[in-house]
Amino acid sequence: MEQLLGFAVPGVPYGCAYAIFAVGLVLTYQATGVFNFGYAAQAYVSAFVFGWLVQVHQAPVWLAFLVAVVALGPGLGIAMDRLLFRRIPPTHGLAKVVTGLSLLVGIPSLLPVVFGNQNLVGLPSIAFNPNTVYFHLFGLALAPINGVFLSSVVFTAAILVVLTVLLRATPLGLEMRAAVESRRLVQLEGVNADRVVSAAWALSGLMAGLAGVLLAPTQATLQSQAFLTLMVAAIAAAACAVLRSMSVAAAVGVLIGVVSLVAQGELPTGSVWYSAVLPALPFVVLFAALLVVPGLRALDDSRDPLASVDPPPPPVAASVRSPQLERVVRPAWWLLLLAFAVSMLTWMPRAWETVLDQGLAYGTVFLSITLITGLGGQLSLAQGTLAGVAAFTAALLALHVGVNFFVGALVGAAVAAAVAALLAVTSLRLRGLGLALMTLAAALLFDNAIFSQPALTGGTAGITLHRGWLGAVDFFDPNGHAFFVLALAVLAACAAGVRLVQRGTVGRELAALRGSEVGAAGIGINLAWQRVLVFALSGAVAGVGGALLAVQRASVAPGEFNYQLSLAMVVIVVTTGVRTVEGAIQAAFGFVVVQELLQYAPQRFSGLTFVLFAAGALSYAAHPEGIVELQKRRWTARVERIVLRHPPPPGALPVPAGFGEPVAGEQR
Amino acid sequence: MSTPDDAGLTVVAAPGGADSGPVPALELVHVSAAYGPYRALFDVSFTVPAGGIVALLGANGAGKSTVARVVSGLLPATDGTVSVGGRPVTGAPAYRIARAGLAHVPEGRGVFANLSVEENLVLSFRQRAGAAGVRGALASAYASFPVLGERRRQRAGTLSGGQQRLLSLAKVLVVPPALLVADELSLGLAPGVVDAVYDGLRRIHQAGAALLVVEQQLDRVLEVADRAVVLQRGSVAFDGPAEDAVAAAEQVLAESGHEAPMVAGWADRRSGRVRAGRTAGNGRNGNGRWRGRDRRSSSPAQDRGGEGEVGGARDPGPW
Repeated sequence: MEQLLGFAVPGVPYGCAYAIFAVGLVLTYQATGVFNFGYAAQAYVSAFVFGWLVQVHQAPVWLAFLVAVVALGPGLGIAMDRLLFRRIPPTHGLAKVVTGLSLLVGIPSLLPVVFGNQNLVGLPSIAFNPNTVYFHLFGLALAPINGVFLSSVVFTAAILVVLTVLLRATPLGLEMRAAVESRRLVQLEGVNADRVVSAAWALSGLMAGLAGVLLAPTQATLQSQAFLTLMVAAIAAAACAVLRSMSVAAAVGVLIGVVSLVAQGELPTGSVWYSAVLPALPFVVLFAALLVVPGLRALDDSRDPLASVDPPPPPVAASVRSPQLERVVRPAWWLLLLAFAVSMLTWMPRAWETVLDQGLAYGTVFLSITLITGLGGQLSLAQGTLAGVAAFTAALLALHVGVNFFVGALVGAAVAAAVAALLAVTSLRLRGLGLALMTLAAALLFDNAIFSQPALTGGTAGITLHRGWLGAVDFFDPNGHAFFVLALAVLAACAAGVRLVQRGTVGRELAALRGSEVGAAGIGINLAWQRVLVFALSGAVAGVGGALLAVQRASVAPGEFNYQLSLAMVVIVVTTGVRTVEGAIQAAFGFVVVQELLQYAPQRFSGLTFVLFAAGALSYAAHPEGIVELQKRRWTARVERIVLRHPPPPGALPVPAGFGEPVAGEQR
Repeated sequence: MSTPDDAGLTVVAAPGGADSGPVPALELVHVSAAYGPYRALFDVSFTVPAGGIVALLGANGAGKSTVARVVSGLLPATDGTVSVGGRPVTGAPAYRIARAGLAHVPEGRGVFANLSVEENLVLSFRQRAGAAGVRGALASAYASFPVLGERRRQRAGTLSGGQQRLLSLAKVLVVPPALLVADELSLGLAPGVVDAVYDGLRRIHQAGAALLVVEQQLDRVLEVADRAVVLQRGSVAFDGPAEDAVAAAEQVLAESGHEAPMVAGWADRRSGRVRAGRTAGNGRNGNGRWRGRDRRSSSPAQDRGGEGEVGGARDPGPW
């Protein structure tokens, strides 16, 4: 018993770290309607600035706290609202998630650009000295109560009480919850919705800042990674509370912390429970919660009764292009492709050929996102994992069975498709945010329980590919073009396949599903089958792309296919343009080219790639069709107006006065 | 009522009833409006006299709801001016117009589904009756509509459609506004409840409120209305005494291709919902191509599909 307490007591502050994040996520969701993946990044910014002021500028702790938490926290929250979330149309749940993800990806990379590379070690605590033992619980020597314990418990409890009262029992809390449902309807009641929403974001930002500064002293070196890990684990606690009750979220958070530390002490170290299940515990909880809790099935169904005031989304550029322009644009694309292939085979410098090869491989993986998100209308945060599954399958088959890597890649793609289909089957009842969380849970389960097994995946170094595995042609020859030809052929085949799906019956049924699931079911479309089909197709394409990436790198390592890659990929593709095949390919080339160009910049700018794509969210929030699509539409309209003297297509440009005919006016 | 407001807008003068001075409760002058590139109203002008009741009529897609939304500030007018109680409110945010005394009951279920019935009422009464008046207003709401009292702790989203409608009407019928804009007043209500709602309307009218009522049940609304405005394809086709409105409306509908009067238009609109459903315009099937030049396909009502319509069939957005 005493030993059990000895394990359980340190588990409490550990669990409180989860609890603080979980409470913050629930608060943000309740007060702003956004499941804010950027919360960890906000916490990290405050912790970083706090540490930077204290350690680099020797500022007093209280001053650093004021600047980093009281001023910067709410400021960042309000800025996020004004610049990003406020512009997102209320019914566009996907845009809210992707915008949060882009903050998560972008902000930590932005800090070194602004502040330089800082190594912040051993940050001070704002209350209670972390290492002082204040007393022993029940007088037991194994249960010391130190400053870390005290501050985490006291602050978690205080935050919980204050926020619950604020949200449930004050007029402002009521207005916040009302504004989440419909900013327009709350305005009709005479409430200044903009001010209420700003207040909600400021509050959420303050809590994020507080969480960051509270958790900073528990880390030896301040790293955004640690905050991210904490937050994804805290999602489990938030999900158990159906994103509704802050106290349940806090309780589950603490429980997860205690159980994992007790289990760590009690489980035999060599067992699979210890090495696979324990690290994945929060994600197992998340997975289970998403499976059984009914409230998570329709999380972000917008209930705004006035959503129809927003104009409908514009059509994609290619569908409104005039036939005359089409005759010019299509050959231009073919010419560009030809020029690209010829350049790659002749004069392209070796370094750039490698970069563009990589672009081709990424393009294939990105196409899987076009399938699942652009066509299927669902967000999957496990595409990197699926690519990894196929790559590892192929490598393991080659290593242990002696199968040719390409045959193995096909098997791997099939396995990835099967995994994706299984994921689809388990999440059939989930939609939108719930489904995104389910795929995230799956990605994290793979990362922590399967990819992390050295016996299986060869540890962090991974598995090195041997020349012999790939048959007669040498794809690793630094002077050959074999890989380029292979990658181009594979990408072309996948792109053509996606295009066929898009234009065919499946594509049309998926389009109907995106429009209205109820309507689609009403005309006899099998929702479940379509969901499984699009997941499986997407898994297969991701798998092919993963194998291609493995050949390009000549190795398969777990770190190359972790969940963060999946998150980054989604941000890159969705902000660029997810509805078209071109969008995915342009995103891939944009990504690798920008990354390569930044190699020439000073080291602190190396993370700028993600910042740039995340900055795409600024335009993306207002134009969820993607930046490339938006620009294409604008330019198409401009060119047609000037060259062809056509009026612009609907939605292409701000309506000039007098445009359009007097037509039957409105929806109802 | 006369709440002070921070918008610098005078509260519509409607104390105690009979004061029908020269200042109209609502005035629209050459108003046009659009949803993005889709134009919906063209040069609409009419007035609601102080203390008057005006019925706003028209076929499906004529622009009735758009007029209501422009008046309450939900949708900005692209042209023209809107005045409430003699003060221009064009371009003012919706909450300021609401604080100036205008209450807009939107079509359908204008309630906060995740808040309880009581929280819905408290939110509204705190703005309209002040913090001190909340308790009295609640008691009066529960007395007038007992079903709301029985279900005060229930989430509003779990009420039946008619009960939700009743809840959104209760907010404005208990604390009379200076000007009430009610969209599709009796749609979805049981006949007995419709009577209660019309009683409520007469009560707040006697308390001095001016009313602009969008209604499908012509006979019911024309019983109480002084004037009627008939919209046709986003423009005013008739503006005159309520007695002449039926004939005018029938003529307008006949011109727009409907054989029978309003009732037929109403049935048509119900079936239109089943037809609708946005198949996300990325097919190359011509949906959306050069819409501006094609008169036939340019009705937003078709392009925009079933958004916000009946029950669960609402467009869930891009998920």
